[in-house]
Amino acid sequence: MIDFFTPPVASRIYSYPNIAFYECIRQDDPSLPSLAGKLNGLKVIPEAPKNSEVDHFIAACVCFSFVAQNLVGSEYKFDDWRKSFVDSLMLKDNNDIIKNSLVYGRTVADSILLWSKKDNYGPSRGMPRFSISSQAGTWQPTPADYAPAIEPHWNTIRPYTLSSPSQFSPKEKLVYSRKKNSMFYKTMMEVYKIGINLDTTKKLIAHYWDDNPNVSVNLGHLNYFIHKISPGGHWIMITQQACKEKNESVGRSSLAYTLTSIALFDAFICSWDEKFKTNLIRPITVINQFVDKNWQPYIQTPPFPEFTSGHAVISNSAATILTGLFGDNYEFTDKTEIPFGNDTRHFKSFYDAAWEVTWSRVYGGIHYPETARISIVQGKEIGNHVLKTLYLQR
Amino acid sequence: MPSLHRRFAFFLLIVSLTGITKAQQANGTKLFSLLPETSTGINFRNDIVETPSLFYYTYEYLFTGAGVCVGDINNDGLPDIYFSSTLGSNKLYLNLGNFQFKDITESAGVNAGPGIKTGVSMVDINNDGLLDIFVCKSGLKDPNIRKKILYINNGNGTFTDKAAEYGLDDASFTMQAYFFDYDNDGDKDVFFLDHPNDFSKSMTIPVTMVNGKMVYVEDTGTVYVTDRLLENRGGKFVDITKKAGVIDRGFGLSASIADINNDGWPDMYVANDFNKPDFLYINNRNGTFTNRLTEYIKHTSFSAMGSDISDINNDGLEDIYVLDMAVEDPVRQKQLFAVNQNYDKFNLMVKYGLYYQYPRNSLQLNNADGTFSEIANYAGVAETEWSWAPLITDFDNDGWKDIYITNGLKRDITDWDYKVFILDSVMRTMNSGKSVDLNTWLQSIPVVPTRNYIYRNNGTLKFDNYTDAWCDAPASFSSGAAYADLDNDGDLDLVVNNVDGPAFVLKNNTRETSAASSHFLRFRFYKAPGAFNEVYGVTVKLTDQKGQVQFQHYDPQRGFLSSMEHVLHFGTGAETMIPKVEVTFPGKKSIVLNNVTTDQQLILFEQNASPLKNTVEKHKTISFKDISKEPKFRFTQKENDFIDFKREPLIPYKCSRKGPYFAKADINGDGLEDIFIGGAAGFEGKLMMQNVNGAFVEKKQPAFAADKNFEDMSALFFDADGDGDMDLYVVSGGAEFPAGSNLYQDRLYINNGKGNFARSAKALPAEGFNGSCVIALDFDGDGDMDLFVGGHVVPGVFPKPDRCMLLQNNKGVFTDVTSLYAKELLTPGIVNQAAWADVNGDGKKELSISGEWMPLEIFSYQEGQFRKTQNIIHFILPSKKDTMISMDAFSGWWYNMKAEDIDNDGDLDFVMGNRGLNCTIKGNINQPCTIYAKDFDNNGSYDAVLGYYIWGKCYPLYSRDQLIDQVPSMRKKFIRYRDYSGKTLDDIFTTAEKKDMDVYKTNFFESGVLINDGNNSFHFVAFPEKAQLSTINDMVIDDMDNDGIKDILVCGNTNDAAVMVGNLDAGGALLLKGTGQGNFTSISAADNGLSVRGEARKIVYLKNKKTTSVIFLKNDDAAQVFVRE
Repeated sequence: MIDFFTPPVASRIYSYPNIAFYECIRQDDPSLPSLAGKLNGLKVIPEAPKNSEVDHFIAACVCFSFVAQNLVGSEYKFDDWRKSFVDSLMLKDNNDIIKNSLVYGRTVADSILLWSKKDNYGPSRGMPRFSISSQAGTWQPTPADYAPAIEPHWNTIRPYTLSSPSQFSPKEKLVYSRKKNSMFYKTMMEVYKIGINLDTTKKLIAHYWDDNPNVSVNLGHLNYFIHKISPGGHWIMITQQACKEKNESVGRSSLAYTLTSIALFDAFICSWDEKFKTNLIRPITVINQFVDKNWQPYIQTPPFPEFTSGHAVISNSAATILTGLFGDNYEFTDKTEIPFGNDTRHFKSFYDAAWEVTWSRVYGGIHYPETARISIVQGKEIGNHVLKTLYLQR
Repeated sequence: MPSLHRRFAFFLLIVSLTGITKAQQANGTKLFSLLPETSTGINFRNDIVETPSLFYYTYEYLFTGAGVCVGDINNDGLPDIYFSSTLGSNKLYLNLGNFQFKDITESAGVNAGPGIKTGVSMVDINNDGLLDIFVCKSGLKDPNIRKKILYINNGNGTFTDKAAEYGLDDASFTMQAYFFDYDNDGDKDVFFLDHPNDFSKSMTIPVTMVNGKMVYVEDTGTVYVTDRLLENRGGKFVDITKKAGVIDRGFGLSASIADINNDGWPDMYVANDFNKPDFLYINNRNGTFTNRLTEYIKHTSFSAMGSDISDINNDGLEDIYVLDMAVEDPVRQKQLFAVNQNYDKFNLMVKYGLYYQYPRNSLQLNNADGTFSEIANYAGVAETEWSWAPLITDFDNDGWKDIYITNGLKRDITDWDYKVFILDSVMRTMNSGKSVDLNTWLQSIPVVPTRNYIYRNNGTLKFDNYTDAWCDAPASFSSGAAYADLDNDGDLDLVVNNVDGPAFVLKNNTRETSAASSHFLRFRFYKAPGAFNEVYGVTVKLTDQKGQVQFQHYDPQRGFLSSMEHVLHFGTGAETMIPKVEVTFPGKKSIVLNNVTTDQQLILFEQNASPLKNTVEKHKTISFKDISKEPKFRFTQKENDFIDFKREPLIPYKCSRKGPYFAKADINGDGLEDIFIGGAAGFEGKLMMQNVNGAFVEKKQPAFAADKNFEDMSALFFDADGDGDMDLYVVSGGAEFPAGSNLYQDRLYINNGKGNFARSAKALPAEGFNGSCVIALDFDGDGDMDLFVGGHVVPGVFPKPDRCMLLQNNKGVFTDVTSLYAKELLTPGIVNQAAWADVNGDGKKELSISGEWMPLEIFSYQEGQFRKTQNIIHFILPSKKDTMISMDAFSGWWYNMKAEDIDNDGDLDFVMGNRGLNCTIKGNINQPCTIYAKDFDNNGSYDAVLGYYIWGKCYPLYSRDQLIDQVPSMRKKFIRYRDYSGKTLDDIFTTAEKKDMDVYKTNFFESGVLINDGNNSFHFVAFPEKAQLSTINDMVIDDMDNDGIKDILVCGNTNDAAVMVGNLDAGGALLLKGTGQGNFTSISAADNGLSVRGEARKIVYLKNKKTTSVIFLKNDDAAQVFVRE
């Protein structure tokens, strides 16, 4: 987390290592199929040499660490972890199985990394940064930093399961209008009214799901950053809690992480595709323009266009996966936010949590209710697609 | 207390000669000696003890420190000192002589009580001949402990607070009170510089729609937080803020009072911290002020702090210096870089009236034509750490004003590792419900005291850093400071208020060590003999035997939160007699004194001043009149909105906004020159036809309209098809389209003989090169005109040069023959200009080219091939050393070049227009500005990483985050900011990464002339200072004053720069009068009428028997038109 990646980039960092881990560990459980051939561009996973015995858990751990190390900035964290992991293994026993496992883990990691390099992430770093449009209703930079919109080319990243970034482009769109009877105007007034009448519960919900990895505070020269878990990270934590609570095997847990992170990743691509195609203005900008020059959203508006709601899309996508794996009506208490100063929250189901996420963005004053509604549909469609492609069609 | 008569008797004495008689101190004594507390008796410290309810995070201006003021409170002839203390007791020290002081705070009753104390001043508010003390407060919520204090001097060593009686017990959040006579009615009014106590809106740009237009939303609150102007009505102060029009909701940190427009009425510069722009209040002479900042000034500092107004270049004009918090130290620079360097935010601020603000000091040089040029980079005073007080005065008495700058912030709260990583863990601990011990937190913030700067004025618009040479005071957190001659020896000593440390008393040793070269003259001003009313706002102009002018105004409140001694001090160097002293009182009443002996203090009385006679207008040999408003020539260039930095975030300047370009010729055979002006992408080129009245009328050309999507980079009228009329070649470029786009196809328009043009479809080869310039040349000697077309940068691959073309004319059809006859000219560099002329005197013409990141290159055509000739250049280094280099090393950002015989010796010289020396980015022959370029991370984008020298090493221009944004793999290398801070350009790349990279260098940023000495040898003569303050985009060479020596009219400025580099806007038009041998003196706009602002790109010079007109074509702006008077 100390590298401060943006939410879409964080979803990439969560997914590849989980896939890498899964591709090692699933070899212990015949009920868990390889994802090779199902994920775009992933053709085959190298097998361990015939006569070399491998501990797939060790291999998976090492494999995860190598892939993750490559994707983050602070590589030393994984170096340190791996060193202590390997040392502890060697301390117990220094046999060929461990050595073979380390070698095999590395081999799978290399093949996953080779595959990851072709997802266009690299070239997308060199593409033009976002330019502001002067057209009415288009996204404008927002306080505190007035930063340029992030990741305008995220739709050029290769998805895992989608045929195109706009495969689940919502049929319904929210179109800017200043006409008082337009859907846009009504939904804009709705977010404004919700904003000025926020009760404690709604404030709590908005704050709880803020999940902004980089809230910038500018008080004169006093400039600092409040770092929170990213939206994707929040759902990875929910997955972890469910796996632990259900005492899932390592393999089944890995499946849950992997499918969830894939669903998050593809959902980010869809939502970002939509964001930069529609380039819709944020509530703070339009409300300050026409309704109330002093209105402020309860949480900070992140720097990218409004439609669709990224957090809503990825949350509903992830909730669909978790519902598929753990069932509907799976009650749970989310403890993710404790390190970030929030209490726990109880949910009746994953969809219940996703629904709350979706509306938290409206309470927070950064999304329109209409967008929230449309984003739920988009997220579920993506989640179902991922589930169908990778899990139900085993 | 001494009697009135004794007091004046003292003033009339020739001041103490002790300094001269004293034995000179041993060599090695620095100009300033820090006197220890044990010897002075001054034990004042401004200790700021933080508590959970009061520390930086609860009150952001806690560490601004406090002020100091100096004045003789007991009229014993020795200036006394009063210190302000942020949280503790203010202190008054009586000067006992010989640098001995006595703390009389408690007996005098002036500890200022509770509250956060800020600015202090000594001022005789009731004109009883006794200095009173005024104290301002801020910070704390309770207004009762923010009430200002007016300590009236009882004349018996005690003071009584009578603020309420005078109407001055205001409780605003005030930094300083400025006493001045705003309405010239003979009394002192006061301006309170206040600031909001809510910092949450300091960095925002609130906007809303009003009547269909987006406008900035002003806060509406005024109580305690807006500036106030109080008029003195017979000793009672009345708030007239609203009427006077000076409501300012900015975070004002200082104001400076001076008569900026020289009309005899005091004006006011207000330096505002954060997003709010500074204000330049011009006195309307009717009780009101108007903020005319944008008319006078082109850009300001962002976090404007302390300020001072004084004449820094001895031209008799007030200049303005405002401090910011930019860091010079190359390591700390990267650790503390300013946050607001994002292109979009910068431009939003400009769009919504917050103006052009850069995070560095600004030195505004007065151009005398109602405009200022910001020259801090040129002068070398742009970066001085987190700076508070600039005091501009002559410390070494050499006749040139130096600058003392206090700086330091108790905690480096802007350290990036601290605010991103360390603070993060503090906040996580707090979030987890654990309490954080304040001391533990505070100890995690870096504490770095820094040295205060001293700059010595070297008389050439530049200052040299004399911090070490002149002073041995240690690093500190200094805030307010004041100068005064504490020992009456004729030089100015310094008193500095330090946070968390003992105050500095710096004794000036100038008189003791170099009496013969440090004479002085001091002045005081009163209403009349026998009256105690001191007069502020008086200006004094000395003219010495050599004709050298010195100019100062008397307003003792200067710098930051402080007030100077009540004397106006001049150093006169070795001069002991000043032939002329002109003293001007408010309202333009003056006294002229002749043959004044130095080393004395004079008292002058307003009642003896008489109204200034109208001075005779200087005779101007060259004078122009602005006739832009007349319908003679109307043209506005519109630039298309393309942001190169979005495609190439690290490049130092845009390549897409270079227009407009023009060509002129008589195209319809009526004997009058007509003009074609190219359009930016999306705008058609325009044909302007001259009529017999000398007016220009546009003639629409469908062929140009059809090609409006091209960006025209250059144009040439020539006879392409040999039919005797002028056809038009237009170079397409602009760098905004993808490389190779067919919008880079050049166009040839054929004239039908009547001035109508049609594009020739097949005359030109198909090409997609980003062109820049074109010239006609008959290189093959077949009688028709061939062409050389210069190539600019490969679009998106800065600074890789695009193709040049040599086009051979075969009966009006042109073929690209570059590979055939001019292989060396395929991609010689980013070419801006070409000339076809006989440079080496062999009777044959050579092709000379120049441009950005490249030298001047001269190619001779021999045996069917253009080959580069070898030339050498002599020039004089700043160290005065004569140096010789190959012309290949003469690389600059050459925007313009002309071959012309400048020294009248019969051969051709080159006049070279460059970037100038007023830029953040610097470079010279030994310390080149360097780019390492390659696709370092193999992601398909060319990463051009620029570095320039600071303190002897070449450091990358960018912050860690900017570098990571362009080269993401750097994140792994520079995990923390400190890993990157201090890394040189060489350090940031591995040897493997550096393999096969392209290296580009710039060794010269000066503009000047290359004088041809024959035998392929040249010598470079740089233009004078004022020609180096901005770019030189174009030039006209002509003997304008008919003295037989060629003069040069240049124009400049560019807004193409990256935000962190900054626009170059200090130029305009400048006339360089030739004085022979390639030397020039500059004649500024005030003396020739050519007052030009904005991005003046091209000069159209129209000269006929009757008149001479000059048209300045500007980027994204209306042309300015002048006619010779």
